[in-house]
Amino acid sequence: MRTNDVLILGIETSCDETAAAVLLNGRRLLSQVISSQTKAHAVFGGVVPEIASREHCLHLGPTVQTALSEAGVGFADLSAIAVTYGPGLVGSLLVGVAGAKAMAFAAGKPLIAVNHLEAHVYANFLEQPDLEFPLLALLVSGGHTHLVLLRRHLDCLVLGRTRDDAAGEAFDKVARALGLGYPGGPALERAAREGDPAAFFFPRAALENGSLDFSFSGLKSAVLNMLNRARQRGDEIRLADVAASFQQAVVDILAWKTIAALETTGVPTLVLGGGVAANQALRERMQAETQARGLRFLCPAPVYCTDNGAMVAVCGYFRYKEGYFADWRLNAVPGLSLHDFYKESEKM
Amino acid sequence: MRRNIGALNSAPCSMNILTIDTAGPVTALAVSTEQRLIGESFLHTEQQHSERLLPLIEALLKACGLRPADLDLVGAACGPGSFTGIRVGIATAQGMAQALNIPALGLGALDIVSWAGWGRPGDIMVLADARKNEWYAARYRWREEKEPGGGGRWRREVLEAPRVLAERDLAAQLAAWPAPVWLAGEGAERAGRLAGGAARALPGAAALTRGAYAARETREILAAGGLSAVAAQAADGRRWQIEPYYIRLSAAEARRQAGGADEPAAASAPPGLRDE
Repeated sequence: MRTNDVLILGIETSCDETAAAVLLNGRRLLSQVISSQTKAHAVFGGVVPEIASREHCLHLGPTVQTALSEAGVGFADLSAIAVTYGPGLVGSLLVGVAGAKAMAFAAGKPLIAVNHLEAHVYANFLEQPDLEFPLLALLVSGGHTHLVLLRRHLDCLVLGRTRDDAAGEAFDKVARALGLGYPGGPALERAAREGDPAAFFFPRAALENGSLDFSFSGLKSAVLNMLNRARQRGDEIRLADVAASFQQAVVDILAWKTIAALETTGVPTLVLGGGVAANQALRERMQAETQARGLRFLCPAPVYCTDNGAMVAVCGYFRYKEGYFADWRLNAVPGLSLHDFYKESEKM
Repeated sequence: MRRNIGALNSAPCSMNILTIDTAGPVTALAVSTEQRLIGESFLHTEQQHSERLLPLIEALLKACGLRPADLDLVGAACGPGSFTGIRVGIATAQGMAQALNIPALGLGALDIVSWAGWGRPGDIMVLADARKNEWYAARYRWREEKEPGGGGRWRREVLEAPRVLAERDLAAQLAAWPAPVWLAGEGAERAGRLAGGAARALPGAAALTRGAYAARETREILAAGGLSAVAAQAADGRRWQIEPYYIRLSAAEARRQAGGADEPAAASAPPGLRDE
């Protein structure tokens, strides 16, 4: 360890993954540990908040310990500890926030509060540390669907967001209706590979002229209604075709709005983030759309799209560079939005 | 002449112990050694544990003239009580212990409050809010044992280990209780109104948890060799791990069990702190 090295421990517990990672100088990932709770929630068909909190409480310490030992460092070597403080499930966030605060306080290290949504965008810096602003980010996950303009560090503008379901939520609900189990997104994507995306036509909500907002509830209802009608009539339908046609509709909506945002803002670079960004059909479509327009496109490796500690660590690294530290009063903020982050932080 | 008194008082192997209790509405902290209480904090404000806990720890340590690195042990109330409160306390105690590479110790939340009955002969029932018109309840008996050469030592017996009690069962039990019983914990006042008869609530803040009680509970566990048990348990180097003691399953698990299993709807056994 050289004296001006920056070593960040990133901790993430906002939903159903307990994750920690150690990152050196914003670009060398020394370790990355993700303790997934998928099994604990699978029998309930979705994330149960109280069970998630209990799992985090059991796994936070061991996850951090493994991340440190795999990186070959101790608490004393760290420059700072970064933790997700929102948005997410309040009980889950609280475990990570309380643990990170205690570790930072006891080890005499600064604490960095990281916005989970921003961390998803910053995951792109893991593979491209020299990525330049401005950036347009499409954030798509089970809880969020956002189009965001980032002009520089600590400066972002939400251009559009979902007015009802998040894209990932629609994936999960349709997957459940198709009997594909939980978690639904990856299962639906697998099923869609065998299907014809033009077999059915489902509505794509454009909303009012010029809006960059999204809506997925109409699409989701159309799929569920179609399945019900088919069941009542006893029609045989190929589930793979339904999955592929639904996925096509989601990808179309996301692509149209994103292209509109790129054209309106003139931003030369598009980045993706969030669990749904691991979807191969979405990645390929965005790649093709940006290539056709001579724009730059980046997307984190799938493991950095879903919740992880590395994205928190890399976001923490840039906050560290800006001297952006939190104090010991830091609390979980389950409804934190990208804008809230700055107000909240300025108070500290 | 040799000065033994100083040597006795400075207790060469004394440990600096921080205890954290956030299982109920009060944030209660103490700094102590095996021999004595050094400082304590009590906060019953509108703020959440998560917001006030670490600033209070920082202030208390500072007032005691200690740095975090001077600590040798961190104890935390591991339940039963508020699920979130338990987790904030445990995550904080574990996080500090982990970063300092010192052991952490889980303390029964109702056992802690039973120290409100210390020096008061008779029975004490400790009640914590379990919501849905239910209480986490445990019963203890305090008595003074005469020691040879005069003086006495107060001993606590656990009559009933922590469990979940419906409010009507609690009222019935208190009415039928033969001996006078003191009620303590956050539920004391309300249970006192239900009870009548031989049960009386400790007044006001005297019924609530205190840092000093958790410090005494820790001393009791240490005296009984509790720390070596913790160390033996955690042979893998995770001496800082504290097991939560929820008693109750999550609502989702309870529903699932009620729906189709013959297993009892109660969670894991207590983490080895109840065997007095």
